[in-house]
Amino acid sequence: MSSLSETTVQNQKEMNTDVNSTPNKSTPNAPKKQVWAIGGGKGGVGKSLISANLAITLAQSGNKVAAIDLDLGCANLHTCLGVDIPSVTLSDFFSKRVESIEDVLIPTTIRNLKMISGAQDSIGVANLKHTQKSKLIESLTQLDTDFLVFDLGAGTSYNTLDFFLNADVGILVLLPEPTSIENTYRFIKSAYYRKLKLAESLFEIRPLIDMAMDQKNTLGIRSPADLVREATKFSPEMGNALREEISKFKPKLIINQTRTQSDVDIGFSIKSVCKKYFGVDVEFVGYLEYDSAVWQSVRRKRPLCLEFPNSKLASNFQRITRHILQKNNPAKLAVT
Amino acid sequence: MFDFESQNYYEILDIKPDASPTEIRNAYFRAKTAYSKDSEALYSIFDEHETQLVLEKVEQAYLVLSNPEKRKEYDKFHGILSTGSLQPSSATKESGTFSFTNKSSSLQDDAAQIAASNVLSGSLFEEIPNRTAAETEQPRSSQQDTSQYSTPRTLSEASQHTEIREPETKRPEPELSKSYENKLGIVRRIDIVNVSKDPEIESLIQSEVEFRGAFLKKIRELRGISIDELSEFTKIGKNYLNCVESEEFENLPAAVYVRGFISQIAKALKIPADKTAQGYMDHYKKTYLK
Repeated sequence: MSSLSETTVQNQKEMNTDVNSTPNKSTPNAPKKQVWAIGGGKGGVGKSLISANLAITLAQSGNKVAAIDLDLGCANLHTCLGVDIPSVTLSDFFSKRVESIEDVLIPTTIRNLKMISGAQDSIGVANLKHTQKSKLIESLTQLDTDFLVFDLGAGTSYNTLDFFLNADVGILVLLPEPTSIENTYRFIKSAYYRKLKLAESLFEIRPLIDMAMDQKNTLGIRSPADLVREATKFSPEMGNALREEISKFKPKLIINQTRTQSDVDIGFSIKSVCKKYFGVDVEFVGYLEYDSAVWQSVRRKRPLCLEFPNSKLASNFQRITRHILQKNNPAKLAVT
Repeated sequence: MFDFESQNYYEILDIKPDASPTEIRNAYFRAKTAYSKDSEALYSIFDEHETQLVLEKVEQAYLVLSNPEKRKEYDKFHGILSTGSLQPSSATKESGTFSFTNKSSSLQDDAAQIAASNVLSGSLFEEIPNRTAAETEQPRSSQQDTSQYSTPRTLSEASQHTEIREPETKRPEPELSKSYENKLGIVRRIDIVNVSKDPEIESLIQSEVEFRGAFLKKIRELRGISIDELSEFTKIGKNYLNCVESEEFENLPAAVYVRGFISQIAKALKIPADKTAQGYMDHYKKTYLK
C-alpha cells in the first residue's frame, strides 16, 4: 500500500475514533479506577503542575495513583513530580522495547504514586497513530490503580480532545486573562463539537454538526443554539437527542494564579456564560492563588505539595480534590 | 443563546428552585458581574446586544425571586415544586464554598451582611478603612455649639446656599479598568467620590434626618455622579437606583434588599450608611409596609 493511502486510512480512523474505546468503558473486567484528565487550550497555564499536585494529593489520601504524561513532545510532568530524567518512557512502550505498560511505570518519592513519563521521546511521537493510541488506552486500563491522572498537552488535537472527553473527570485549567479565557472557550467549543460528531445517537444529523463546525456555513448556524434549532427542525427526536448528548458533557474548571476576588469570580462568570451559550454545565471546582512558592519548587525540581506542605496552595489543592470527589465519586471519599 | 426564551427565572440566575434568599442574592450579583460591560468572561462569546438581553432578564428574575410573595406566585404559575421557604437549602454548600462573606442564614443577618460588606470586591485583601466616619467627625466637632437637629433652619439655609453655588467636588480620577488592575497585582477599591471637603455638602448631610429618596438624589448630583456611574460602582441596576430616588417602592425588591441598596448607595456617596438606611427604611415602612 502506498504511504498516501495509508495516511488517508489512518486519518479516517482518527477522525472517527470510537468514542467508547477508552479506559473504564472498553474493558469491564479491568480493575475499577477513575480517570482524571487535565487539559486547557493554552500552553503554560499550569497543567503539568496541577496534574502533578492533584495526583500527589490523591495519593497522600491513601489512593493508588498513576500519573501519565500525555503531553507528548513537550513532557514536563516528571519535573513537577520531582523525578529525575526517567530511564524508561512511553517511547519505549510504543517501540516495544519493553514488554508491558508496567515496565514504564516509574516510582516517585510519594507512596502510592507512580508515573509514566513522555520524556526522551523519539521525534514524531507527538503524532500518535490510531493503533498506538488504542493500545495505550487498553494497557492503561489494566493498571492496578484507583486513579489515573492524565496530563494532556495544550491545544485541541483529536487525541487531546478524545482523552479529555472520555475521562471520568475532565478538568480545564486557565489563567484569569483574556487570552487564556478565549482559548478555554475554543477548547470547550472543539470538545463540544467533537463529542457531538462522534455520538452514535446523532448519526442522522452528522452533516448538520459538520456544518455547524464551519463558522461560515450556508445554513446560518452560528452558535450551538442555532444547531439545536436546526436539529429540531430535522426532527424533534434529534433535537432531544442532541440536548441529551450535550448534557453529558460536564467539564470542570480550575483557575490558576488568581490574585484577587474578581479573578476568582471569573470562574462563576465562565460557568454562567457556558450554560447560556453552549447549554453546558461547567463545574467550577476551584482556584489556585498566585504564589511564588510555585516557581521556587519548580526551580528546585521538587513537588510543590511536598516542598511547601503548609502553604495556601497545598490546601487549595486539597479543597479542589475534595470538591471533585464529593461530586464525582462519593464512594472514594478517602481524603484527609 | 441556548434555550434562552424558555429559561425560567431560576435557570437565568443559575440556581435551583429551592434556593435560599442568600443564594438568590449571591446569584444575582454573580450574574451582574458575569454580564457587566467589562466582564472578561464575555470575551469572544457574547456581544453587547446579547449581554443586554441577559441583563434585562436577570433583573426581571431577581425582582420576582427576591420577593417571597412574588416568588410563590411565580412558582405556582410555572408549576415549580419547591418549599419556597426561607430556610437555606442543602445546596448552600456549593454557593458558600468560594464566598468569603456569607455564612449566616437569617434575614436580619442577611440585611446586615449586605449593609456591612461589598459582596463583590476585595475580600482577599484588607479594605481601605471607610473614611466616612473620619470625615463626618470633623464637622461635628466644629459645630458643637449648634444642635445637630436644628433641622428646619439649617436645612433651608444650606439648601439655599447650595442652590446658588456650584458644587466644588472635583470629578473623580479616571478608573483603571478592573482587569488591568488585577494584572498589575494592584488591589484598590477606587472610590467614585473624591474626599469631599465641601463644608456645605457636609453640613447638609450632617443636618439631614429623614434621608428620603430626594435627599439621596440631591447628594448624588452634588457629588457630580450620574446614575450610570453609581450603577457601575455599586452593581445595582439603574432602574432600581431611579426607583430608590423616586421612592417607587412597588418596583423595588423586598425590604431587606432595599435596605442593603440604601446602605451601599450611602457608602458610595460617602454619607453615613446606618443613619441613611434607618431613615429611608423608616419612611418605607410607614408608607409601604402596612
